[in-house]
Amino acid sequence: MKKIYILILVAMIFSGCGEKFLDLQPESVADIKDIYQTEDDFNQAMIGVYDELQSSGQYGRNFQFLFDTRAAVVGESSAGFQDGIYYEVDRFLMRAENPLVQQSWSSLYTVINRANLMIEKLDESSVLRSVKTELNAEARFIRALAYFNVVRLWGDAPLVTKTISPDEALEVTRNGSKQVLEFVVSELSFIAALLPATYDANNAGRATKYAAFALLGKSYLESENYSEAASAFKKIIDSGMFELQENFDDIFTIPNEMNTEIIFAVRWKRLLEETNLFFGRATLPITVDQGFLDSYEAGDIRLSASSIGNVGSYSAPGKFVDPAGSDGKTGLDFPVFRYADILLLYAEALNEQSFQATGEAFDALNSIRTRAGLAALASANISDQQSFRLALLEERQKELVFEGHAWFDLIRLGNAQEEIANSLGVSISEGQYVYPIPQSEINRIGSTQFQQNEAYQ
Amino acid sequence: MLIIKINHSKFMNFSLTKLIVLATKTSVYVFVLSAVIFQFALAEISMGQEMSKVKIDLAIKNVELEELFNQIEAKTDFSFIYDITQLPKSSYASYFHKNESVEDILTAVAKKYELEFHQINKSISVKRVKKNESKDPKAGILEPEDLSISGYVYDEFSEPLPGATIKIVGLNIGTVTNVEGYFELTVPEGADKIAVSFIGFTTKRIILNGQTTFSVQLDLDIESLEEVVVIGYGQNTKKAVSTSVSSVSAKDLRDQPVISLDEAIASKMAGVQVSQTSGAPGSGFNIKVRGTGTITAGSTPLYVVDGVPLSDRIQSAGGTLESYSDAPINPLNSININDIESISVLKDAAATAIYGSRGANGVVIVTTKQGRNGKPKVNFDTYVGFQTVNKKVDMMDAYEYAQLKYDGHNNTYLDFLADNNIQGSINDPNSVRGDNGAGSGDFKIPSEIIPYVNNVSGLTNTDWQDEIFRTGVIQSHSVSVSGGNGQIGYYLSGTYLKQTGVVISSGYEQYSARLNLNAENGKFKFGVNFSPSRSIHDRVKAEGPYWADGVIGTALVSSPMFSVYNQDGSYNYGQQSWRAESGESWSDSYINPVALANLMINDIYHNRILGNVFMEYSPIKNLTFRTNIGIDVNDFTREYFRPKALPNRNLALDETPGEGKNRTEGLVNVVIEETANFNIKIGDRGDLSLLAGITGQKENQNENYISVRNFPNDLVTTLNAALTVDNAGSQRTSWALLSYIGRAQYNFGLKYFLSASIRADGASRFGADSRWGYFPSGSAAWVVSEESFFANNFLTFLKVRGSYGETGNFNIGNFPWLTEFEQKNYVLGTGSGGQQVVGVAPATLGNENIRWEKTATIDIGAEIGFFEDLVTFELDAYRSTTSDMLLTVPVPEITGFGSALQNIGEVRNSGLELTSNVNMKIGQVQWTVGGNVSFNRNEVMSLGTEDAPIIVRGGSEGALYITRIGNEIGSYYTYVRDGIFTSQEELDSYPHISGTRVGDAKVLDLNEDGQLDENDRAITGSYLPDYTFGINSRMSFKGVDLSVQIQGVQGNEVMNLQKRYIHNLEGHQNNLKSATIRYESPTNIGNGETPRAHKGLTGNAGLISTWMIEDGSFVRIRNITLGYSLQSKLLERINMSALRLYTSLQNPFTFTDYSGYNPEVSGNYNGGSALTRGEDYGTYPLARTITIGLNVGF
Repeated sequence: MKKIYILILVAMIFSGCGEKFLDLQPESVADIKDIYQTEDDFNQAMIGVYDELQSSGQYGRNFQFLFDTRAAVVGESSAGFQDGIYYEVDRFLMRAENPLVQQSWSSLYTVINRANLMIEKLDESSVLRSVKTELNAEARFIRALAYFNVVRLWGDAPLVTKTISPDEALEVTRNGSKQVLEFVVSELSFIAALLPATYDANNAGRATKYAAFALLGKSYLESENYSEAASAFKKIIDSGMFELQENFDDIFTIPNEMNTEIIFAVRWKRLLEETNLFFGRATLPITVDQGFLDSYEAGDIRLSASSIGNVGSYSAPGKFVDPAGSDGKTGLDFPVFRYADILLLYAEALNEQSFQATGEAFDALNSIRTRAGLAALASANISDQQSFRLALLEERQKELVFEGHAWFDLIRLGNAQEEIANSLGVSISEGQYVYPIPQSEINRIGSTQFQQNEAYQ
Repeated sequence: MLIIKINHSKFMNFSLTKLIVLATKTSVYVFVLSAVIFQFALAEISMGQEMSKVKIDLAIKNVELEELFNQIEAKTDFSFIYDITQLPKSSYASYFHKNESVEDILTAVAKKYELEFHQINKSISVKRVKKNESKDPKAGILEPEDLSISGYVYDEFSEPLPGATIKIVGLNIGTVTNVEGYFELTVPEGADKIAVSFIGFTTKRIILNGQTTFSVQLDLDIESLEEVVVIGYGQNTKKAVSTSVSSVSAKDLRDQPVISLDEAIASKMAGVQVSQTSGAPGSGFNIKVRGTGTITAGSTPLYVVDGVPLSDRIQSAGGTLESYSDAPINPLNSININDIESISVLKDAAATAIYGSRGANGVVIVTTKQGRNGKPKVNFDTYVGFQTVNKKVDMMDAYEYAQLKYDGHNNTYLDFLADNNIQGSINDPNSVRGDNGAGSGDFKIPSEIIPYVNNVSGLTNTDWQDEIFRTGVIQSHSVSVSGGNGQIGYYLSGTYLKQTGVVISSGYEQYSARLNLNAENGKFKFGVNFSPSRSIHDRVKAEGPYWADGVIGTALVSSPMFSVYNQDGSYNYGQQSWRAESGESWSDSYINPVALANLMINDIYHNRILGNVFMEYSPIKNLTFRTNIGIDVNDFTREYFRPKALPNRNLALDETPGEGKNRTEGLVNVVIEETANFNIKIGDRGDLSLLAGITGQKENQNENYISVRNFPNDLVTTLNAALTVDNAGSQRTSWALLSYIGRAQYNFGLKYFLSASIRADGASRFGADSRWGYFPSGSAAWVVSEESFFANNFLTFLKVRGSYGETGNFNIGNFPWLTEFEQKNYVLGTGSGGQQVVGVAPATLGNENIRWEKTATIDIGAEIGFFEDLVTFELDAYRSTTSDMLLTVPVPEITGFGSALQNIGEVRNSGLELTSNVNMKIGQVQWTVGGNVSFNRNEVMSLGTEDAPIIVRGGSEGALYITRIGNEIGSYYTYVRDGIFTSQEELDSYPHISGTRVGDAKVLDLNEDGQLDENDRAITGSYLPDYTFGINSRMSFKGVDLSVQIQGVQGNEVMNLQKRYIHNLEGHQNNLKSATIRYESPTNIGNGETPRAHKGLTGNAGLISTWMIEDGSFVRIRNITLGYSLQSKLLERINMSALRLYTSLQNPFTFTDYSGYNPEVSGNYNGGSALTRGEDYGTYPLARTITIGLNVGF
C-alpha cells in the first residue's frame, strides 16, 4: 500500500504544478497583457495605429479609387479588369458586394479600434502625464481622420468611440452624418491645442497641431461652416511653418519627403514599408483621361507630373511613380494635407463667405498658379463667386490630381450630377454621392437596424 | 454450447479469451499480452498429487455441483474441466466432509449423478456416464493415463509459434506450445481429435489416428475475433472489445513497396479512408476516420506510436516556401513498416474518449515489435521496385495544338471585325489585321504555327509529359535481429530506403534504425523503444498551376511546338520569350518545365528521434504501475534555390535575380504518463479491470527563416552568396496538455462486457477558465453466443455492442484565446525617405471563452461468426455530432476585426460500416477473402446564430466552396454548364453574359430570372465520397501465396481547375485531346459539349462551372503480390528459418472516369481547411510500381 501512497503523492505533485504547466505564454507574439505598460510600449502601439493608414483599404490603394476615379480626370478602367470592381466605381455601378468598399470599411474601423484601444489603455496607465496627453491627442487625431473619411464615404455611420465586442457590435446602429462630423469637429478643436507644433527629425510625420487644424478646417468646410473653416486654415498659414516648394516636382521626390509643403502624409519607404499603388505604376490599368490632359494650359509644369507618357496608346499617372520601383511598388509618401491644398481651401472658405475681387482668396489661388508656371488671375478673369468656385475646382483638379480630392471637390465646388452626365452619359442621384455600406457588414449586424444607403437599397 | 470454466490468474490483465485456460491457484501465471502467450505448461507440473491423497474439509449447504467443484478447487491444486450442459440440472445438495480425500468425495458424487471423473495431471475432467455403464462406484474415477503425444507448431513462414493452444476436441483438455513451438500432451483413451489454435490464425483440427508426433502449420487468419487489439492505454482481444476498433497486424503490411504505413493500410479497414492525394515521394496521406466532423480545427486522426502521441504539426513542418502549398510531410515516414507489430484504429468515441481532447478524428495506434524469448533471430527484408507514372493525361500534339491556336486567333479576329463592322476574313495577313485596328496580339497569327497548320511533317513535336516523367527506382533494405532470454528481450533493426520519383529531379531517401528493449526482474519491468531516422526529400514543385512554377502544371500547358533543348544542348526558353516576338499575350509565356524541375534546388532534410522508455512495477500480483516517458524530436531544414539561369515568367529573360530561401524548424514533443492498472475478480465469474492515470504532454516549436535574392551567379547556391536579404526571422511557440484518465472494464463470464472511461484534459490552448474539458464514455457488449440457450452449429459467434462517448478537438492555433499583437511598422523621420519604426497592433480578437470542440458519438455494432469463425461479419452503425465547432466566423467589422474564433455550429456524420472475412480451405489451398464497405453522410446542422452559409474561394477567384446547413462541408458552389450554344436562335433566347457567341458555353440560368448572374450558382458536388470499399484476398498453396488488394471510392467529385487551362480552348495553353472535337461551325458542332476556339475568355467562357467538376469515383487495384516461401524441411537443411521471394505490383490499375492524374487529388488553397478540399490544380501523379523482394530469416 505504501506504493499507492507514493503514487498519490506523485499525482498530487503533478496536479499541483498542473495549472502552471498549462500557463504558457506566446513567445514570438506579444499579448495584450504585455503591451501598454511602459512609455515605449505606448509609443509602439501608437506606431501601430499609424500603420493602418498604409492599408490598401485606405491610402495604400482604395482611397485613390474611391476619392479620385469618379471625377472624370481619370480614364476608365476596363470592365474586365479584376471582375470590374474598379469599373463599378468609375461608372456608378457600385454594388454593396464590391470588395473595395468592404476593404475600406474594414480598414477604417480597424484604425478606429486601434485608436480606441490606445485611448482606453492610456487612461488606465501610469505613464507620465505629458506623454499620456500627447499620445492621447495623437490617437484621437487618427480616429478623427478615420471618421472624416467614413462620413465622406458613407454618410451616416456608427460612431464607435470605445472598444466593443462582437456581441456589443450587434446592437450598434448608424449615427447621423452630421453627428459624426460634429464629433470630429469637437475632437479636433480640443486636441489641436494638445498636439505639438513640430517633431524632431526622428519623429517627423506624426500628427501635429497643424494637421489637426487642416482636418478641422476641412470638417468645417464639409459642414458648411465657412468662417470657422477659414479661421482653422488661417492658423496654418499664419504659423509660418509651411511654404510652397519652388519646384513642383520636388514635392514628390523621396529625398525631399516631409518638405515644407507637407502638413500630414501617409508615409512609405521602399522595400521596408512599401505600397503597391496603381497610381504609382507606369502601367495599366489606370490611365489619365486624355481630355483632362488636353485641358492643361500651355506652360503648366504640372502636366508632366500627371502623366508619364504612353503605355501603349494610353497615358498613365506619374505623380507617385518611384523611380527605383520598376516592379510597380513605391516608397513615396502620400500627402494627406499639403500646403497647396490648404491655400486653395482657405480661398474656398473665404469665397464661400463672400466673393472679394481682390485680397487673400485671389492671393492664395495665384500663389498656386504662379508656382505652376501660369499667369496670375484677377477679378477681370473671375468676376463672381460662382466663377471663383469653378476656378478653384479647376485649379484643384490640376494641382491635386491623384491625391484623393477630386471627387469631393466636385461635389463641393461643382455640379457633380451634371458633370457625370456630361462626361459619362450617366444620370446619377445625389444618393450616389456616398457609397453603399458593405453588404457583408449589413449581413453581420442585421438589415433592420443597419440599413443600406437609399441609393443602393 | 460449451461453457469453459476459467480459473483466473491474478496476473491477467484481461481474462477474456476463448482459450481453455487451466491454471491452478498457486503456481501458474498467465499473460495474454500482445500476440505472444507465454508458455504455461500443465504437463510440467508434478504428477505427485493424486485424488486419493489430497484430503480436505468441506462444509457447504444446498448448492449446485458447480459450487462443489469451486470449493474443491479453492482448497486444492486441482481444477475441473466440464461442459456445464452435461451436468445434471437443479442438482442441489449439501456436502459435509471432514479430512476426506478428494477421491472419496468425488466417488460419492459420481455415483449419485452418474458422472465420470478423469484426472490428467491436476485437471479433473467431468463426463456424463452413459446409461448402463456404471456398475462399480469406484468405476466413476479413472486412474491417470500416460498416453502422450508431442509436436511442433509453426506458421507459414516456418517460424515457431510459442503459446499456440492444443486442445483435445470434446474433452477440454489441453496445453500450449513452449518457446520453441513444441508441445506435449497426455491424451485419454478414446480421444481421437485435437484442435490446434493460435491468436490470429485459423484453427486446425487433426485426427490422431494413432499418430503421436505432429508437425502442424497454422495459417494466418486476417481478422480473427481472437486477435489482440491495442486500445488506448492497454490491449484486449477483438472479441472482448465493446467499442468500434479496426486493426491490422504486421503480416498484413508486408510486401508492399511503400514508405509509410498509411499507404499500406489503405482499403484494409472499414471507416478509415486513406487518400493518396499526391504521389510525391515521402509526402503525406489524407486519413479520415468516419468523415469530416470539423471545419476549422484539424481533421487528421491522432497518431500514437508506442504510447507517444505524435505532433500534428509535422505535416506542415517542412514549411511552405512558395505561393502554392507544398505536399505535406508524412509524420509516419520514419516508422519502418517491417518494425510494426500492429496498427489499431479507434473509431467510435467510446474507444477514443480515453484520448479525450484529441480523439474526435479517431486515433491510430501503432505498436512496434518486441523481442521474443529465444535465440537471436535475424530477418533480412529487401526489395527493389521500378516505378512509372500510372497515368498520362491525354494532350494534343503540336499539330493539333497549332490548329487550335490558329482557330482561336481567327475567331477572335472575326469577333473583332463583327463588333466593329469591318469587312475582313481569316485570310487577312497580320499586316491587314493590324491596319484594321486589331492591335492586340490575340488577333494576329504567330508565324511559328503556320507550318504546323499546313501539316509540314517532321516538325518539333514534344510530349512534355514524357520529358518530365521517368522510370523511378525504389529500393529498401532492412535488417532486424531479435531475441531474448526470458528476462531480456530485444529487437534491433536498421533500414535504408531510397526512391527516385517518377517526376524528374524528385526523390526521397531515408535512414532509420530501431532499438526496442525490454527487461523483467521480479516485480519490475523496463523497456525502451528508440528510433532515430534521417529523411531527405528531394522535391520538385509538382503541386500547383504553371504560374506558381508547378512543374506538372507547366508541362501540361506548354506548347509541344518547342523543343526541350536548343541545338547546343542548353535549355530552350523559346516559349518564355515567344510573347515578345509575336505580340502574344502574357498568358502564353511558360518556363521550360524540364529546366524548372532540374535547375531548382528544393530539399527538405528531416532528422528525428522518436522513442519512449517505460517502467512497470507490480507490488502485488494484480496491480501494475507504469511510467512511460516518450519523446519525438524533429529537426527540419528546408533549402531552396532558384538560379539566375532559370527565367521568371514575370521578368525578362536575363533579369532573373536568383532567389534563395532557407528555413529550419525544431519540433520537440515530450509526453509523460503515469498509469496504474488494477484487476480484480468479483464473485465467481466477474472480472473488473481498473485504470487510472495522469499524463502530461508539451510541444515546443521554433523556426528560423531567411530569404534572399540577387545572386551574382549560380556557382554558389547557399545564401551567403546573395547580395540582398529580403526577409529573415525566427519564431517560437509551445503548447501543453495535462490529462487525468480513468477507465473501468468489467466482464461477467465472458458474456457481458461493460466499460466506462473518463478523461479530463487541460490545455494551454484555451483560457484559464475554459481550459478543462471532460470526456466521458460508456460501452456495453453481450456475447449472445456464450449463453447456454444459444446452441447453433451454424452461427457460432454473436456479439452485439453499443457505445456512447464524447471526444474533443483542440487542433487550433496555440493561443487563440489571447488577443495577439503583431509587429506593425510605420515610417517616420526626415532624410532619405525616413526610417522604418517598429510598432505593434492587435492581430486577433482574443476570445477568453474559447473552449473545446466536442463530438458525441453513438455506435451500435454486431460481430458475427459462422462455422467457428470461418465466415465473420462486423457491422457498425454510428452517428456522431460535433458541436461547439471551433470556427473562425465573420464578426461585424466595426469591432476592428473581420473575424474571430468562436465555438459555433454543428456537423453530423452518420454512417454504416460492414466488414466481412471468409476463410476457406479447398484441398491444399487456403483462401482468405476480406471485404469492407463504409457509407458516411456528412451534414452541416447549424452555423452560428444567423446560420449564414460560409462561402470560401479555392485556388481561383470563381472556384467557390459553400458550407451550408443541410449539405456537406465544403461543397462545390459553381455554375452549371449545359453544353454549348449551337445556333443563334438558341443564343438569343437564353440568358448569357454579354459577349457570348454561338459555339460558346451555355450556362444554366438556374433561378430562371432571365439573367445569368451569381445567383445561378448551385451545389455541384463535394469531395466527400458516398461510400468507400476495400477487398483483400490472400490465397496460399503449399509455399505459394497470392494476395490482391482492391480499393474503391465512390460518389466524390473533383474540382479540376487544371481544366481552366488545359481545356479552355484558348490556344494559349496546350489542351486535352478532347479539345479536337470542338465546335467549328453550325454544321460541325463537334460533340456539342466542347466550345469553339477563342483566344480570350469572353462571355460565359470564364465562369467556373460544372465543366471543371468531374466524377472522382474510382476502383483501384492497389496491390497484387505473388510470393513463394521455402518449406521448413528445406530450410532446416540450409540452416534458415525463413526464405521468401515475392514480386508485387503496386497501383497497377485504376478504373476511373476522371481525366486528371489522380482522382484522390485534394489540393488545398487554404492550407488544410476542411472547407476547400478536392481541388486539382496540378498534382504529383501516383506511381505504378513493380517490385521484387526477398525476406530471409535465420
